[in-house]
Amino acid sequence: MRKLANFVATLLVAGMWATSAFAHVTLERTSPPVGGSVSGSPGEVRLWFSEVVEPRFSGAEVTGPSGRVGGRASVSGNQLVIGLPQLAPGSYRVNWHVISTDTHKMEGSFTFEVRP
Amino acid sequence: MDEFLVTARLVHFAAATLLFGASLFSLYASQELSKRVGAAFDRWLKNTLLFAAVAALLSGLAWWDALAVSMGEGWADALNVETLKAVLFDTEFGRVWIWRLAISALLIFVLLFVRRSDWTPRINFLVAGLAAALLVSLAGVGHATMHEGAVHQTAQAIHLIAAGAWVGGLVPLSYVLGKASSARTGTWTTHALYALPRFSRVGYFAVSFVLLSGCLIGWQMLGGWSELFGTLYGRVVLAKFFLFSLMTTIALFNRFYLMPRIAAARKGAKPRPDQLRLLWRSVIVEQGIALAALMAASILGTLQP
Repeated sequence: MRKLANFVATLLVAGMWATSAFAHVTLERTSPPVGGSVSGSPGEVRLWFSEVVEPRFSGAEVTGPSGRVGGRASVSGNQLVIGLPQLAPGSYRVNWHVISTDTHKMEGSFTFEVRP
Repeated sequence: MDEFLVTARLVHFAAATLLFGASLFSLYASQELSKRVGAAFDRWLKNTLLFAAVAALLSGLAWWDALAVSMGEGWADALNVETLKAVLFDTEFGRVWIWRLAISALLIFVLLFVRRSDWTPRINFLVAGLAAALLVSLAGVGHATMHEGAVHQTAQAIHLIAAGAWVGGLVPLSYVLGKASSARTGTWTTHALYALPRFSRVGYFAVSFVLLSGCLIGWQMLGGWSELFGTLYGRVVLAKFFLFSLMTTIALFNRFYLMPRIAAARKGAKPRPDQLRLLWRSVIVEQGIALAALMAASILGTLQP
């Protein structure tokens, strides 16, 4: 009984501390940054999420002035990467979708600018 | 799309809860009874458990399929073998789900096997253990997997087991009470009088743990009072808490008003049938509210806080 009480107390205290993590994936940062611009073609687009995502069901595509560029996204842990060919200057949009480990779907998009 | 997933979740929760709560009830409130009193109950229990195990397997498959639809490209993926394989073999959900489907199938097998033989304590333990595994492993999928550390998952596991012991136990309890309040012979009343204090003792623990773990999970998911009132997730949590309070109120009425009267009557004469009948009805109402709480739980899992 005493052990049980200790266990419950530990759980409660631990629970109070662990309140910072909310149960949904958010896009934390990207490279190139959301809405930002880079001079010269970036080699890749990289997205960091707040949580680990399911690789098999997460992906992204990049579209530019002349249509879709880059290949399939590769996902590992909380990162998603798309390799890019040499990009011409202009505005590019990244559409992403991820499935978190609690099976929820999240999607979004952002743009970045490639300057000469 | 979401309706499909919510329905699958509801049926699955109800089935897993019934499997665990009813087989546990049989362990603490029926196994010790004499053969004459227990045989008819055991027959009913075995059929009910088999029905629940089949429901658990079917709803488990439906849950998996609903996720293929929501993770993939929509309804086109409902019967897409590639997507279904990917959900089962390439996701965190699938790694847990394979085992849960296997446990459900094993339960069906065991229950079919003992259908015509005795419901021995050993078999009862085995079924209750498998049912506990089926229920606890639900903490391995869903929101609890998103938090680092084991606190949320532990709380979730406790919540599932405690709710299962309580809510799942109401079903066999109401069966015994129903028989006792209508049967002419006293054997069912003997069973009811044996089971009631035992169920109530388990109930104290179960209700406390449901409340404690529920508050912990709610706190973790919401993080504050404004989220409790300001988000859809929070409002469903509030609804669930309201249903819990309603159930607890009825349980307290049963425990402290009806039960002493029924138990006191035993010493002199047989309990008054109208009091047994009132208790029976009240336990049935409790089950209805419990089902609504399971519905709320089914919806919560599909919402983002």
